[in-house]
Amino acid sequence: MSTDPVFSEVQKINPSAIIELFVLQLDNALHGATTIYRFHAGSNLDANGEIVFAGNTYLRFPIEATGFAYQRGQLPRPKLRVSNATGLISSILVSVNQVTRGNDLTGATFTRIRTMARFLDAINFPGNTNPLGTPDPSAEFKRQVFTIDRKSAENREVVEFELAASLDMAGVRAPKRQCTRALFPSIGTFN
Amino acid sequence: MATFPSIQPKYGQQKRSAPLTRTVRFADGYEHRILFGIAEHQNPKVFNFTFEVSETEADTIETFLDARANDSASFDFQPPGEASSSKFVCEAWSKSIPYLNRATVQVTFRQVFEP
Repeated sequence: MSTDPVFSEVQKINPSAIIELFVLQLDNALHGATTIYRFHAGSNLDANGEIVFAGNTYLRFPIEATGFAYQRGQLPRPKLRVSNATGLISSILVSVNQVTRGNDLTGATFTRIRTMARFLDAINFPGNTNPLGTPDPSAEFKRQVFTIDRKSAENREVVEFELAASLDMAGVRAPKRQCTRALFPSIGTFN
Repeated sequence: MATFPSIQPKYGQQKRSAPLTRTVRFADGYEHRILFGIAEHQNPKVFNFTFEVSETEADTIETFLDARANDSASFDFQPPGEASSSKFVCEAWSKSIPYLNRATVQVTFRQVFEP
């Protein structure tokens, strides 16, 4: 992963369009599998197929994540909204709840990848060439990795999740464990 | 994928474009423009057509649009004056009957980007 190409691109007068990709990875201990779901809220230019970046296909799906901005003094808690019109998310929820009751995908890793249209794979474009630039599978902004903290809504149209940084989960603190002399008798002794 | 029946609308069609560009501009006027998502897909066209046709052809149009409403699929249509056909959905249309056996169908087609 390299941020140099995207940073030099965004400083141009008319930069290439920003492409937002989402990756949802389940956790084997919590969800019974390490399935990776990839989503993008649009289609590509070759017969409106699915966006391919770095060889991975991103399912076209109405999906939106907001609230990644860092406010003063607190970690962001982004909100993820996914279409449930086809019932796909509900069926994923049902299957993970069979492994861990009431889990609702909490603990799954959610990654937001942002790249630019000129770095997309050539297969996304008619004629198998990217007319905007040279495909670069490593060119992307810094990845934003969050954990699903809570399912805040689920209805027939949309499923909403609240995301949290891995440090921001309930019961997590840094350092994870304090070393005290009660547990480790040699701490703080000099001889 | 269904194709719209080969019935031509009358002249006076309207084509609207509203690119979804994010613009950042403050006091002295210099601005940044950036697109989110594939650029060509951030500029969907919306067409207004009026069909002044016979009652039979109006029924053909209505049957077609009803069927698309039922299967919620998009359809191919090549608007007059456009180089190629595109995919559209029609969310609302109306029909009036001004004379015997003549019908006027007004439709709004919105472009979509799907296979």
